[in-house]
Amino acid sequence: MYLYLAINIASFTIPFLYSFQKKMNFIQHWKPVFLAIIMVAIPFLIWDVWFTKIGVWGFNQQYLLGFNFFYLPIEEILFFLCIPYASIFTHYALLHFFPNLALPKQVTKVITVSLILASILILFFNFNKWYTLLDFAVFTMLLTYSLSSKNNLLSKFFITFLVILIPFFIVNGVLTGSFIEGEIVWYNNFENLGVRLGTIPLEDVFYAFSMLYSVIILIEKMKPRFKTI
Amino acid sequence: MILFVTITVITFLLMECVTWLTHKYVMHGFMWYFHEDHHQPRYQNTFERNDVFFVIFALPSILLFFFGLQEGINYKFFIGLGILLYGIAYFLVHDVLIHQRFRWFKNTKNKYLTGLRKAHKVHHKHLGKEKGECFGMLNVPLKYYNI
Repeated sequence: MYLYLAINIASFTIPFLYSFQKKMNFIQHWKPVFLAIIMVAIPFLIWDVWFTKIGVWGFNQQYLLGFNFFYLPIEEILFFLCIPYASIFTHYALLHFFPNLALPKQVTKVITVSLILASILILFFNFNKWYTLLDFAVFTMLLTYSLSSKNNLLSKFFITFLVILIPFFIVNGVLTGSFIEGEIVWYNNFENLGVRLGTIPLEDVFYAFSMLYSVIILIEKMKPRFKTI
Repeated sequence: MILFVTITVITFLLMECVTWLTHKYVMHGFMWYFHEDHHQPRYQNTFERNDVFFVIFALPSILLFFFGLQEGINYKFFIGLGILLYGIAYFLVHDVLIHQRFRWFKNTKNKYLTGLRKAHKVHHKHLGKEKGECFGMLNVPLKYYNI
């Protein structure tokens, strides 16, 4: 059964079709959106190839088409296009319909600094686990960058990300084996904290956060160049 | 082996984050007492009160070297190494290149180094605790590299 491909297509199709909805017309921004997604996908794919190679995680052939490039199944490569698109669409759709959606500046700052401290603490005790190490390192660096850049995107993204977490838990739940026999993607628990939210490793939440936040930073940076959004 | 190298590199990079945060929220926060004399225009003595931060940052590094060498070498040693290497880089950039406590690389034309120097000059424009800018040390806004 080609379940992984089906998940990709289902996640992508609905937001993509709604991108043509007249009122919001999200598709007009396709250039910066796809460019940003691709720019972020490249380092994440390199990271993915490496971790697949050293066995931090891997894929169950039972749910795949069977085409691999550099250790990665084609579905995994599509993941970095489909899932960010669906999530980024959700972020901008929420802001379109609720333009004032934002945490106060001071609250955002306190949350950011607390997350950085928690993340450094987790890192300090788990430097010997590959996934935890890279995941929280990237997360810490991004959050510190956001504090120093004063771009204020987090005040919105902290809220929209909570909404994005709902489909995230469904999609990632299925990928990691909720509701199905076995799993599509397996994780080596020696290389992560071993904390699972249902079947999802805790690190995945921060992984998704870093990936999507990077895309949004890039979209916002390219905005003046494309004069959209 | 790759893990140990990665740990050292990541620690080095994270130390820039830690430095930025400490500088902004601790040195310009409740530990301003120690940092204040560093924002005075001239050095009064060979050492300044601000140098206490070298001791503060060296302590975890020393402890990590110690605990990283219990029963063979373990990953803590490489966190300590990352902190040490960052400390050396910090000293060379901040205390030598910028503040010239030793008269080395005085005439550098390297764009990255002169950029760091300019950004830190901007940080020192402010003599007080509040309203600072450019709290980073090895990573500063791009604009400073192109002046």
